[in-house]
Amino acid sequence: MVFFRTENIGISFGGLNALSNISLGVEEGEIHGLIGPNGSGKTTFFNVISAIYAPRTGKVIFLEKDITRLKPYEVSALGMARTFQKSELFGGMNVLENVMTGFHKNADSNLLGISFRTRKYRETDKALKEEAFELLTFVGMKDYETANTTDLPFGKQRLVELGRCLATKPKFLLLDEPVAGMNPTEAVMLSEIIYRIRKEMKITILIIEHTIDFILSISDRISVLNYGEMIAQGTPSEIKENRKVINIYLGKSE
Amino acid sequence: MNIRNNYLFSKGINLLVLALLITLPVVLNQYQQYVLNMVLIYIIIGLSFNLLVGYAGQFSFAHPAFLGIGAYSSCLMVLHLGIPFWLALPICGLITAMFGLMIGLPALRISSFYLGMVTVAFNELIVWIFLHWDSVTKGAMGLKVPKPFIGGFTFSTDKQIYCIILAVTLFCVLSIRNILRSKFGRAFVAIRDSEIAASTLSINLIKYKIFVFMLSAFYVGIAGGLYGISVGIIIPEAFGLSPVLIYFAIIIIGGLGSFTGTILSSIIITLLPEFLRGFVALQEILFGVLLVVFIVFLPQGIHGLLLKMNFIKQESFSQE
Repeated sequence: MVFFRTENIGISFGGLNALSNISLGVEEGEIHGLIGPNGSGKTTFFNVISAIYAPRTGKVIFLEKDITRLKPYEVSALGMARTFQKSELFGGMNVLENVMTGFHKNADSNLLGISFRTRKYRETDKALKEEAFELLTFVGMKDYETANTTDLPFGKQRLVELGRCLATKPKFLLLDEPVAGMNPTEAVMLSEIIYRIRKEMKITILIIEHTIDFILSISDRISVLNYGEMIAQGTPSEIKENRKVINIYLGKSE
Repeated sequence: MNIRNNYLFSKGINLLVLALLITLPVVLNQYQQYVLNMVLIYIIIGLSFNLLVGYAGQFSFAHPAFLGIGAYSSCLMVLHLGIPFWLALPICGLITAMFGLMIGLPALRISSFYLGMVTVAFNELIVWIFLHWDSVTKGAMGLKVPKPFIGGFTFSTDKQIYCIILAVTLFCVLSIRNILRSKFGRAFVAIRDSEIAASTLSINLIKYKIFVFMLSAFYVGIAGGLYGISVGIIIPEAFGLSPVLIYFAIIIIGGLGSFTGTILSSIIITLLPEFLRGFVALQEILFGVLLVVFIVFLPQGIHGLLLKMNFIKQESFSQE
């Protein structure tokens, strides 16, 4: 079974091709890196696969299902979760409640039970809260449980966002520049978390990242975008040797 | 935890307020009792309006019409269908929620400004119907609301009606609070703060935008039913657009997306005109000044003020 793949994705904005003919496959259980210079279309690609944008051409296949025309919430319900380049936390809720929002699909939705706070509802809700706390512990944010998300430094916000994604119990996790805003210690901690997500939660991961060392060390395979086109795919060592990538992405060596 | 003891509206204070609400009628005269009834009704209106505007970030100018639909439909059910008031009240809430659904549908396609226009038009249309559907609503003459009764007992005085209003208000306040602290409250705030993130967390934006309109309309409809029995006669004019300014004042002065703030400001806004009975001109001016002062200096309203003074906690969206 093919876990995830796109076929010839193309999208343009006002006549400008943001992506053309992007075909990319991700195998179950792998950590796949997606790199490319600024404006190469990485985030646009994420927006297409998480169904925020509809592509002009091509298909997105997830778990053998064509998800190209689905709505974001439907894609999420199928088991795909993503973080955003700029933090999209809910400022009106604290850290724990942000993570609890991720449980939406699985939470008790009996309106009468909720209105009257029945015992059954209180119990399921309590269990949910504990689970959210476990996820916060998992991403190393348990001390910030009641903090206001807007008061957190950017790096910590990213971790909360990650915890919120995990609450949706995804099979496939898309991380959009997770290291941005983190100091080197936090980045090391994050890569450990990412390994644990794959190992303990059996989640497949696709990462966009600018920090080249980070992506080379963490990925099993890497795809490289430039001006909306796929210019290389391969293992980190192959990508390191690829002349095109060295020229375009890492800068000419001469 | 010790710090919590400082908070206003902790459990002890809640019980105290409840005891006060139960004993107050003993010392109030008839007029004061009527005002207290109105205060409670405005608390329901304020909370349900804030639910929609403050918590979920949607817009509506049609809430006076919802109040009217609740008032007329509950009264008509009692008059013509012989449904007892205690049953007519929840039904009128559901009927109003259906109208909320009608207004919620365009909310999906149009942005806030145009949505505002649509709700204004809806409100005017409903008032027009109240005014001109003479055979049913008695038009501008107004509809006399029968006194509610349970079994053989008729609730005829303001104090007796207060018992009904207090019980229903408690239900509304607590259930709104419980809903806000559930997945629904979290979904509303999520949609307000980031639609895009909400949608990637399996939250169906369309469903929840419609749902919050219906929920808000449901509670306002209930408030309308209570309004009917407490004023005794309902006239179309009462549901024109001008009350919506008061609703906005309540949620702005209380604080958008604030529970305690809304309750306090509902009380203040309802009582303010009563203290200024003698100076009608001053009433409007003071009202305007108050609004401007809050918008400029206290954009987070009473809520922000109490928060700064450490009297209340941040709004909570999960069970304690």
